Amino acid sequence: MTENRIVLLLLALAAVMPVFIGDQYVLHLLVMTFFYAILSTSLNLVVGYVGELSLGHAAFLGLGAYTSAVLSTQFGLPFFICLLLAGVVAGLAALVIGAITLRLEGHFFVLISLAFAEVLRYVVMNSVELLRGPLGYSNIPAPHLSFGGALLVDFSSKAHFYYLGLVLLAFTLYAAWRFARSSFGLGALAVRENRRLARAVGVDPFRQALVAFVAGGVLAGIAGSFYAHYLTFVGPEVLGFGFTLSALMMVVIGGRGTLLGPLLGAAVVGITLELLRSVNEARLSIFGILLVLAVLFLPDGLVSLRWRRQPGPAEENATDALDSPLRS
Amino acid sequence: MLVSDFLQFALNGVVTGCFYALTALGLSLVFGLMNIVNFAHGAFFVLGGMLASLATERLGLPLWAAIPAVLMVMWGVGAVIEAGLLARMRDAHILPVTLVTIGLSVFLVNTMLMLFGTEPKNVRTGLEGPPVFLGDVIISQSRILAIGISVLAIIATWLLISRTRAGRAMRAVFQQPEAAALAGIPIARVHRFTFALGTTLAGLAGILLGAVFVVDPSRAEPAAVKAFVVIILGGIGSLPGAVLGGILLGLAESLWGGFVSTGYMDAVGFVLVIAILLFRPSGLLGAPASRVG
Amino acid sequence: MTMLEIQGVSKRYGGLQAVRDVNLRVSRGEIVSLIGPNGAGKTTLFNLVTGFARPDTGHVRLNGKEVTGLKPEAVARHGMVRSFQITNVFANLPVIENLRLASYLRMRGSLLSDVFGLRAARQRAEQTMEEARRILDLMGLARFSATPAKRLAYGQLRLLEIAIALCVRPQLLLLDEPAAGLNSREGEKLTELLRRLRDELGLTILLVEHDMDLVMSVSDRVVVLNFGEKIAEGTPAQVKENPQVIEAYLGTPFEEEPA
Repeated sequence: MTENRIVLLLLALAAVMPVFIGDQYVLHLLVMTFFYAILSTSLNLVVGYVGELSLGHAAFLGLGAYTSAVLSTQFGLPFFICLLLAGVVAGLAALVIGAITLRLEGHFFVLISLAFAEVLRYVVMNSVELLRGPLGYSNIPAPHLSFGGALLVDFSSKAHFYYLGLVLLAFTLYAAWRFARSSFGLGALAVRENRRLARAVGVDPFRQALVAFVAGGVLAGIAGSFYAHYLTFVGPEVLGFGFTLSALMMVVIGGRGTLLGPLLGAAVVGITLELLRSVNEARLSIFGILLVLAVLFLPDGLVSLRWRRQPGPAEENATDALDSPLRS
Repeated sequence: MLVSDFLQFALNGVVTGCFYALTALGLSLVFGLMNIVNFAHGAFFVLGGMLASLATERLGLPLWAAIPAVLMVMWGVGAVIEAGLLARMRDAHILPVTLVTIGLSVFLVNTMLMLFGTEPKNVRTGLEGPPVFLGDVIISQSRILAIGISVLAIIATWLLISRTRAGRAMRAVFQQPEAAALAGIPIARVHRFTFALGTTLAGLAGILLGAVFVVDPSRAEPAAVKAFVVIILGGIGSLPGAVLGGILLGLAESLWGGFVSTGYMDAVGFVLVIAILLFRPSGLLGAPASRVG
Repeated sequence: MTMLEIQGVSKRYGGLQAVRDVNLRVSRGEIVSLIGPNGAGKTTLFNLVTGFARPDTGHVRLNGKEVTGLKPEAVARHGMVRSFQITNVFANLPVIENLRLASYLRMRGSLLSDVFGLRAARQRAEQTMEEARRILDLMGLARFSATPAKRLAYGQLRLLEIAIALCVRPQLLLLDEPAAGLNSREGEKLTELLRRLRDELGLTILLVEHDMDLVMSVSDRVVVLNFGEKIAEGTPAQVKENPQVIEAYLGTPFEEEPA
């Protein structure tokens, strides 16, 4: 069965699951899994398809979450408008940050992407009057779906969020799929396989990376908005490295550069996290070991157990300036 | 009034800067030679401090015994990690290698939290005497000791790199790895040596930090990132740059924290690195050209 | 009709003047060969013209348009495509995939039509793949369509490289030592191919070569570089007789060598 069919099958399964599952806790787990799946799919565009290690991805998640929180609590905008604007704001930020930072070579991009996210976090933490600093926003209103004045869905139960999350996930997966199949995906593959040759045939690696970066940012912003309204609370931690790390692990363990990978990763890592809750103290230690083992022994992720995926980023660019932060 | 404030902040900044310089020195060697973005460097930094605290507080060792003991342990840790883990990834792409170091860092930090608890730890120096006055400026005895040891360590490292055979081998591998291999230099051993050295320097910086302030596992990641900030500021591959960058960062943070606000102090480094990468990517003392041809 | 104009181009690397004040014109539909001893600066000149290096001085113009110092991807978009001295293909991918990637510029429409898979984009993709298969036929590589590129024999790899360049639909093709490593029969086929490219596809070709048989039989004009400077230019027959050229290749006679 092809990868796409499996994805569709999983989505279909997920659509009927609430009929069989009433346990609120399990539903909550699944909702969070959807959230992480969206987040890691968005990160995968940058890390998997283009091959840039962005450690600042949480910046876009956080911007989306805060945008949604502020617009709904301070300005009373309805959820779906907030959702849209969250994506837009995050996307614009990605455009600006990407345009500046993607010109830098690998290692430097890693560090500067982290630097941007951390600066943003500090700004938020210290903006007490404007953004409530470390206290964050609470009592973020739940979404509601109305038609012609009649209230259709009031999002009072987990099942409502479940389906909202599932729809957003389906949209995200569709967007990622279309992207990979477009000429963008073609160019990204070319750059991954042989950067110099890709340039010689007209592929602009910077443009490729920027498009992926912005797309990833938009999707992360949407995930952020969903997160904010589901948990009804956001604080500066949403801009922190923790979320980036989780998403990164999911992409790597699941399989980067594929559609199914981030999904699998979100499920596996998410479930593992929960199972490890009983050993709460040792949780992160085990996490760390798992990450190391996954990279060492399953460098292409769980997906590679079944399919041989496209080869990873080219390793041969010896003639590219190694020390110069600027790309040749 | 303002001048003495300035001098006080500056002095404090130089002290912190020494720690940054030491940490960055170790990282510069690892990054420059092995081309690894080592996120676990901050964990080594904390580990050094933790072990020293264990040695001096719990085991009651005097500082002059504790430091060498801890440094030897750090060397061992670095060598084992390089041999067991990083050596397998020598030819791998930046992405998996960086992820491995992140995983390592997460593991080390959390394990330290589990073993040592969340309270910040202190390294007992045995210097209980009153602080020294230089005009209006105060400096505690432990800070003087810390600066002294830092300077010694930096000089020792410099001598190691420039005067010994091991150092020459390191420089050869740094400049032209393929030629060095052809010349018969044992690359694997040089890598192991370099990583162990870097780890040890980080550990020493952690010990000194614990002597002057406290060490705390939650500071591991910021420490790693700051070390990177410093080597980018100073220039990749430039050891004097690492030292200069470290002092500068310490000064910048201290002056900002003292005169403007403490909230953004940690962000100073990030802003500086963004500025440097955009306007002078080779760093203050770094070589502008690529090292290939 | 001048297609490529290289004017006063120079490049220095540290203490070495790799290319010194080179002037060169290539007319539409010509095959021009660039020859010279090793280290004469031929590949450097290629790099300077196609954006892989930046000239210190001088201009490069394609069809009158200024392309000096543009990045390689921009140069390709303007219609100038090069091959490389050391084999450069998408090694892990099948041959046909190599050509699909090489057809990137042809596949690319507006971002939106791409992303939403509109019919225009699909049609464009189909057409482009048709063209790619035709190019594969032209190069005689059709039976290797599904073979991973790294499994091809050396001579076939060189042909694949040319096929890749052709998929970009260049006006001007720059080939860096296309005959390197080919045996004499393959070299003849290459000569034949280059002629067909010029006559049937209307391509203009600038090539760097050491294989004198190929150069003499296929070139309309020959340009000779030595130590980064142009020392001769003319028809193959003219250049072959040029004493400076002979000296450049063979060195000074024994009696005149320093003690």
